[in-house]
Amino acid sequence: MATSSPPKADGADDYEPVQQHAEESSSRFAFLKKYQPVWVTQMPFKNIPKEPDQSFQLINDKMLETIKEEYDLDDESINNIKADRAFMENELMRYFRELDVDAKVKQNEYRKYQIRILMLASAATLVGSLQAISVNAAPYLRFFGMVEALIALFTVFVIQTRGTDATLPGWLSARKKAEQLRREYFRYMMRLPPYDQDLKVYDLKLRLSSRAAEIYNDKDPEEPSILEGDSQ
Amino acid sequence: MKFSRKEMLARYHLLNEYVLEDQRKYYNRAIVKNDKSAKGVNLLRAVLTLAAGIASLLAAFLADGVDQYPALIGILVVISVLAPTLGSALSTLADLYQWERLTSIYETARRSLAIADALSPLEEMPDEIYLASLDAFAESTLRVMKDESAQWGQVIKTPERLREYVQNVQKENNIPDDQS
Repeated sequence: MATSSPPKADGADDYEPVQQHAEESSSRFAFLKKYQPVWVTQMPFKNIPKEPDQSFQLINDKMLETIKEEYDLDDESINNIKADRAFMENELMRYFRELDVDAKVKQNEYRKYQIRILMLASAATLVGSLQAISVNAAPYLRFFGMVEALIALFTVFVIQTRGTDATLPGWLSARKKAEQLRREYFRYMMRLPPYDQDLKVYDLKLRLSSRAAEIYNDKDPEEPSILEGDSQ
Repeated sequence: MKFSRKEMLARYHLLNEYVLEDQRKYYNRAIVKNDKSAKGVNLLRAVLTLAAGIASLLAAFLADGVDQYPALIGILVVISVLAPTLGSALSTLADLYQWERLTSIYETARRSLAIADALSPLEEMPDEIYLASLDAFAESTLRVMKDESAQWGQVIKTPERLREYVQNVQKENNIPDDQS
């Protein structure tokens, strides 16, 4: 039954994990991708869709069909999984989609802002150095002084036009909550604690609804573990 | 309501294919990407340091023969100033993206997934044992994701150089520091 295989890096560049807006979050310079170093492709000049993809599922019909055929699974089990999925649609998935998109947008905005500041800070350093070596050439000195003042002005402009989406705590908080909701989805799907199989179905559902809402509201509910040595 | 044996099987395959294997492939991809980025930026930084050194050396050497190559000396001086600035910008960029530390986090997570994978239930197990094994397998997989996510959150920080630069500009222009 165990289908483990040694980890491979082959083709790792091409793999797209299960994610929202996988194809739409493209760089403006995507056509240059194969000529760019990998670190350049990570620069934040991307068109990130700002609205959640309401059709996105962590487990979609195609995935269910694939495992059903591959492992010869019965209809009843697949239908039960679909029923769980349908229940979580309203109670969890809509929060997940919103927070996931929010995290992506904030990540992009935060990095965009930091890179603008980086460019301005580097330009200020460069002009300062040029000023230092042209200390005996008065016309150059005045010119570099003016450029330095312009850079400071642009920096003030960039700082003042920074949106609330460009903050690090905002990005990290949205991503943390989205990942916790993802885990909660599978915790419920697998009936891990606190979703004990002995509970009545309505208790299970109430528990899921309440925990998903808590995560969404920054309450951070405990994630109980059945494994030895885990405190949570 | 307890899962039937068939349903346990279905949920096991679901988690194995679309969580554990998906995470494994995601970690593989992230390791390759972060590793290539770190190496690419380190190489570029080394090239810039070398270029700055050579340009300074040549400028000093040519300046000995006063007035002979003023344009060339000018260009070399600019390179000797520009290259370290670009190198420093790349260092700050590396601090912003934390490619090296992320590679190590994803390496650890990928290895931890192997431990979760080893807990996969086996077909010959009786139902009770199969369920316990399935729970342990699922719990360990989710635990790896949780740990990776927590570590990742600690690594991402605003580089000190950028923070200081913004704070200085804010101070000089009396702009309140209301955003971190």
